[in-house]
Amino acid sequence: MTNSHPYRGLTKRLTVLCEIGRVGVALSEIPPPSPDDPLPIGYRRILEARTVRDLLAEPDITSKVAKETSEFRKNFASFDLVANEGYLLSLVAAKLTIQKILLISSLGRFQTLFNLAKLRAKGVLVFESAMDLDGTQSRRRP
Amino acid sequence: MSASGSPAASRLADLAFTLLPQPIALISSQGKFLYTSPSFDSLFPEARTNPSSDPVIIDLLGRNEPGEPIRVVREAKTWKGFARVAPEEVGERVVLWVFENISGEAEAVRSRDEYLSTIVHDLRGPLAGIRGTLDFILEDPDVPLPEMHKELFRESRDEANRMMNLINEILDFSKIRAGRYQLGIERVNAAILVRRSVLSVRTMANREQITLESDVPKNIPAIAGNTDKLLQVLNNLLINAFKFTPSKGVIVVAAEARNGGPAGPRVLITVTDTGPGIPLEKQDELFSKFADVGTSTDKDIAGTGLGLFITKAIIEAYSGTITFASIPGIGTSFLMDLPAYQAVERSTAEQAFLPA
Repeated sequence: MTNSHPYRGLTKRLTVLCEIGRVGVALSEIPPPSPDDPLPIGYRRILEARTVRDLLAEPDITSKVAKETSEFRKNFASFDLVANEGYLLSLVAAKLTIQKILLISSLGRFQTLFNLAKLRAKGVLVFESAMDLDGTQSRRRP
Repeated sequence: MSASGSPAASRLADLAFTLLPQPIALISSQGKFLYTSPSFDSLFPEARTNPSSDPVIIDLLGRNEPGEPIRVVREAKTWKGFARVAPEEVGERVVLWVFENISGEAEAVRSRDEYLSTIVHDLRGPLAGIRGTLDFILEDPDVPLPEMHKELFRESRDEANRMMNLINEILDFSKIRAGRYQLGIERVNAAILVRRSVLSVRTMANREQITLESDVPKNIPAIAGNTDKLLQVLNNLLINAFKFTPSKGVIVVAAEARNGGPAGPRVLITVTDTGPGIPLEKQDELFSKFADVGTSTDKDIAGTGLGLFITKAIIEAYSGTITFASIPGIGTSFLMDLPAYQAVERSTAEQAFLPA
């Protein structure tokens, strides 16, 4: 059995980075897995779960609307985005609540939540209540 | 074979090896026999003439490092093989294998395990009767009961179910020890496996206020395994995750295809939680019998401590590996790396047995 001891140093760095809220940096610290060693995938999975947990802990998060930041609109070429993030941005353009994005996203609920949180951490998105966005309260799903 | 000193000493060493009752073999770094004693030849009659016909010989010749001792059962006798690397003075890397007859010891262990297995098996019958009666009382609309009594019966049924799980774990453990835990290999749909495992604990997740998610991409390859056994494994890992994840936490069951290099395509299934993580000092013993990492929440989810031991045995029987990543204070992820169905030769797919 491989245990986490070969990654003792990495584990400590990831702990510190998570404690100061730098989960995105922590993710970039994880080495790629090799055919013999899938363990880095486990570390990635922990950080993904942690990110989703923190997002869902925010009050009324799913009723909020995801919106591109003005910084991203002005300077989108400087943001390094991966395919899943680009796909979610195409949904965000329709000014949908996170709940609606979750319903129509083909990434699955978990990856959608994780990538939305990542886009916010990168400064691409903000989540605003529907009232803040257009001055009216959006209808919430039961 | 050579011995330091005079040619006479060398001949005496040869003679000593020949006369020793323990089967002995010397294997070169190229995986070839340099010497086999007569007792070794009698234990493994085709070792030199047709080595590929015996899985134990394939294992011996294929090992670069001595590794774990080998257990062999031949003609009602149990042998344990130990390996040592010869000292550097020999001039080349040679591994010395010595086998010992441990039939007496094995017989004592077998008797004890059979005794345990019989007692536990006998407990299962009456317990099944108690469960059935409680189910009948609770589910029959014609049995009028005050709500308070119903609640007490529900608690009794939950306890009976828990005791049945403990009994089943102990029986599985006994079968593994006795080498009688038979596993069939079939094509297992990974997406359905994950979905079924998540469904089976959905109620628990709602009760514990834990977000339970699955993450399986489309076109995930099938796994070479057995649906029931892999569900048992996933449920063990999920129950563990619930045990350690506080309310408002997240548990994710995920699957992804992976390049396993020479081992061929693999499917990696992970069960990840946002619990407190596993302390570094507890990590080495995690898959041993009766392990208890002792950082659970105050939840009333008891176990025998055999869950992870059984889980590891099942995964390894399917040529898989199980390991874990843990970040103290952040979470833990258990990783099951299993061969994709296409990577398994038909000949080995027919059946698999757990080692004794």
